[in-house]
Amino acid sequence: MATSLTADAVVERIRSQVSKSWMGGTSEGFQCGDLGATVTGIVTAWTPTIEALQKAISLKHNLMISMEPPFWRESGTVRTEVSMGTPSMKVLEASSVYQYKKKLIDDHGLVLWRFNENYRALPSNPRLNALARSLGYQAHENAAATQKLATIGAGVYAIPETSLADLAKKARDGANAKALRVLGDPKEKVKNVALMPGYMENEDIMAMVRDRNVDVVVCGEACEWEAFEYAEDWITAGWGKGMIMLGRAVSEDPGAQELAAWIRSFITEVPVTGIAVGEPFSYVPSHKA
Amino acid sequence: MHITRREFGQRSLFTGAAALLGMSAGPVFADATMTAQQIADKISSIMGPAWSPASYRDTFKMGDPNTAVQGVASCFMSTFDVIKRAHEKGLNFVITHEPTIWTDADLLPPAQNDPLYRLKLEYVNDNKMIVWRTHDSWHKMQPEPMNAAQNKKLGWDKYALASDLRTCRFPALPLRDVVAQYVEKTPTESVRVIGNPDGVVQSLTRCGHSCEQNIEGLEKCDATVSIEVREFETAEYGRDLLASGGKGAMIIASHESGEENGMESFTNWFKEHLPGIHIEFVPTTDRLWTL
Repeated sequence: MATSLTADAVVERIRSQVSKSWMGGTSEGFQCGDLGATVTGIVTAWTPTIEALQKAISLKHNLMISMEPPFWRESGTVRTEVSMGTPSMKVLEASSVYQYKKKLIDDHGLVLWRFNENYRALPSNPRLNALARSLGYQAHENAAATQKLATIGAGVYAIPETSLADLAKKARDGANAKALRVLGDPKEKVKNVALMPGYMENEDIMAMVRDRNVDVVVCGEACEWEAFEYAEDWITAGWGKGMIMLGRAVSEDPGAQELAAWIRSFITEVPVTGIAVGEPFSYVPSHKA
Repeated sequence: MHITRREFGQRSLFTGAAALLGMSAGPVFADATMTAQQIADKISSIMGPAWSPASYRDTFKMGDPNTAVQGVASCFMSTFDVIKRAHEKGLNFVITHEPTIWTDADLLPPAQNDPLYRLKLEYVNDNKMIVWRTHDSWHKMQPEPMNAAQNKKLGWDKYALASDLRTCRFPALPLRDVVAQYVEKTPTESVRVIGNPDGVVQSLTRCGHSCEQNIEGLEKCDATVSIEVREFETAEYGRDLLASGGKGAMIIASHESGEENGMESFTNWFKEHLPGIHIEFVPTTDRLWTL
């Protein structure tokens, strides 16, 4: 077939788009499947959930490009996440969930490739900008302040003044973050927002609030004895007013869908579909019925 | 100002407070002049085999350990708010279960040049306070006090296995009812559930923060309770468990809500073993809210 495009060739094209700035020694690479397989379609997702893989199968797309690995653990030596107890292969292989997922991938000849650090580092900042757009912040970007946070992939926005409660409601609706969690007085007025998709480490929040030009920090997830405790102390000090943790998955979904749009700009032979995985939580019992 | 006899007894420990009230300092317990270091040493000797001298966690974090202790504040986490409330109560020795400077090992880099670190440190030093952590040692006490306290609070001690306090066996209940019991007794809004609310739960195990523990827990029990997990690994495993047709549920609560009452137990333990040293439990409360 003259138009045959292998998974390997797709990856090469992505690498050439990133061009000379491609960073080596990252967590990225093939996770499962045959990299010589002919690609029938590409799906992108933050993490390749079973549901996202089933969607790919139903679309007859056989290449999954995701920012996270499939088996809930780093697959190589490069750590991009702060694990709280990586499952050993022995424990994984004994798990019915692992067996189910692995069989699903194998039976359908799916190819999984992880694209993470180099995606985050794209100068056009699609991961941050896509989330900022879904939350309605993008038009209010404080570009100079965002530029100072370029290395951590965070942004700063001067939105029209609102209450913390209304900001949280808008975030819930914009990011489909029904399980979001908030710290701070809901009645406080806020205007300057620092935003970071994904997992915010303590050094990240220190950088985001250092210039004392931020009222509220919005992130995906934070460790409760690290950046979360820092946010508590920052609010106690009277330096900040609030923190919103959207939930990890929903903070990454816009960026993962934007990844599909970016790939479509240089791969036209096969369909490319972005999948929002949504939040993993079934319900939040404190929510009033 | 009306003060009860009990409060007067407590206040009389604090010469400063007593002087403000225009009273004599009254009888001062011999132990009231102990230093933080001496109290920490006493705790470690009473803890015996549970004391973990090699732990990087269970060390002094701020302040001079040779400072005389006016009173002890025990807490889940030495947030700036907890430190301030301890000071307002005249308690200058904070004994915390969790970190003070935002990393597990209370690492100075990157905190040392951070303005919030300097503010917190100055507050501690200016008020002659001391912060010490007991984490690993307290967890090593038998029966493990955090799980024992959780079981008691939830009324689940009758269901807990004698051989493993983390694990409970219940009469069959739908997940929604188990979660409702948990939420009713746990003062936090931060409880998130992965699972079918109608699914039957007969066994449940607490898994800490680790993905591996949660995977193993879900293989042997109908449900797990975790106080803080990383979402990319553990919550995503839970999502995939449901998608694979597996039965099982995860109850993910805030870290604070799962260990606060275990530090109340520490307070009672301290009172029993170090009588004469004034201690108060200062609640941390996670203050999270949801929509």
